[in-house]
Amino acid sequence: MGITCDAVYSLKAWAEQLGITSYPFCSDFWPHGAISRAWGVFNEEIGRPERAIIVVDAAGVIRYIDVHQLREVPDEAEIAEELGKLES
Amino acid sequence: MAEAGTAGSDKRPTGRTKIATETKTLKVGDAAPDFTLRAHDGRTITLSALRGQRVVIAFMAFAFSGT
Repeated sequence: MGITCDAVYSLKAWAEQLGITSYPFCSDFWPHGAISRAWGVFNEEIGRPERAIIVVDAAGVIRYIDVHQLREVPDEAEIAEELGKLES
Repeated sequence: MAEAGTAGSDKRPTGRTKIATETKTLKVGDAAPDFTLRAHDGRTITLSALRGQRVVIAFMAFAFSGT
């Protein structure tokens, strides 16, 4: 799933533009960035999350964290590799 | 900062600048903090309701920003 601090209406329009149907874009709009802050990825100066990929296993335990620069493409092969290590 | 590029045939990004493998509050092995959020398609998503499945969460900057 994706998480941003945009309002759900913006996310709906964005998902439609991108043709996203297989996973949800979730809105952390209000209280602004509360979940991003709890997960330690909220940028307090700019008011939006850092770019990060986090994998949670079937028991609810965090197994992978990758915080990276904006505009850099996450390494899908690495993420797939991490998922492959986990029981589904 | 290294320049992002594309490696030959396998298209894997190279020169990525991984800032961190932990966040300000979480590290690998921690329990994922639960949340409930509204989704673009009208659903309400609760992380703990997804127990039994692997979940990939992508925090992104802004809709339409190309980031």
